[in-house]
Amino acid sequence: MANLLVLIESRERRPLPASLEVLGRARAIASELGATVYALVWGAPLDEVHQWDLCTELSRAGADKILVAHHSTYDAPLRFGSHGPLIEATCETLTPALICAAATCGTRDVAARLAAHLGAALVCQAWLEIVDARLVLAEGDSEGRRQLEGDLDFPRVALVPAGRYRPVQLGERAKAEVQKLEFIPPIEGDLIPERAHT
Amino acid sequence: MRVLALVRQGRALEHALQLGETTVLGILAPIEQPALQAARAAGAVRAVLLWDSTIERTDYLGLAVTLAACARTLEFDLVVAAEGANNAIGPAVADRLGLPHLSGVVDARVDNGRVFVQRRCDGQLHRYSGAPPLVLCFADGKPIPPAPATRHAVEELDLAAVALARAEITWRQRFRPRSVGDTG
Repeated sequence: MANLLVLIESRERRPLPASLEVLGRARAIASELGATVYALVWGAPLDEVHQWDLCTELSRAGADKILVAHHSTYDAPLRFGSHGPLIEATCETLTPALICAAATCGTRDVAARLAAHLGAALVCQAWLEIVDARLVLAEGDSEGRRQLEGDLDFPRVALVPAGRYRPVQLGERAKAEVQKLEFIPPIEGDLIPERAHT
Repeated sequence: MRVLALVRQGRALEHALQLGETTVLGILAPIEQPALQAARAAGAVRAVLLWDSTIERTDYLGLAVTLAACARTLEFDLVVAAEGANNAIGPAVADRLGLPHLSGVVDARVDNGRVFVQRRCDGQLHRYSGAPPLVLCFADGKPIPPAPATRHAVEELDLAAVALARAEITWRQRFRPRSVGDTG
């Protein structure tokens, strides 16, 4: 297994705690299997101080490499129509064996379509486990547990419920490589936001 | 507005009926045909049932490929689905049809041929609009009420009728999470 890609959602320029939990789990798996953890984070353009803070937090939470995409489009709530092209383009570049994210209303909009685009397996409400030095993706509780078995030579997309794993804290020496993605989101013409209200 | 409601998860129908003339499409075992009868009784103008035993063992994408192939044989402006537990089917069907989709939809209306949608995300309502064809995945909805005794016509299709070969469905079996010890 070469690459794990974790989709990081953020609010108020801070990663969601649930995203950090998934990143921590990906770190544990990658350390066991010798893989690289990529964290993809997006949002409105940040000043250098806030970007430094964000990347420091993701480094300490387990990322080996951080992919940063800033555009005003990404300040809106996550959905496939606005964010999907970025995520698909990243997957086509990295060809990750596993794409995982915290289960949120945004990732629920993105995950199945991304998986369908990639021809990937989809595991929702996922457990990410190591069994006999292999990654096993499971869903369901102990009685109704289902899992992907065998030698998996295809990509997998997994959504992990909040609170399933604890975040990791690697300490101040952790320093991930940061790469800024120069990705211009395509103009949406079919289903466009009007205005947000509470 | 011609609406195609995917009723496998059962709960999209009431939204579909409010949006326009509704055809219900179910990938259901024939024994479950009463679900489509109930949809007709509730107001759907047409019901289409597609079944093949291979569908039981396929994954979300095998289902989506089948639904999309079936949808292409029907006329629609909107596809309406219920999210269910995982929201896997609606977005995957949208991918196969190459249409925009939106999940978390709590309300939709049609005005002058344009679709206006409300989506709930993180406790906030967000508004979108778009021109059909679109796929809308509703976050909730009531189940179809039981059908009265009156029988309605339900069209039955097989994979050949929608130009699908079994192999296009069966190869996805290995992508489906299985119960431990399940070899099917």
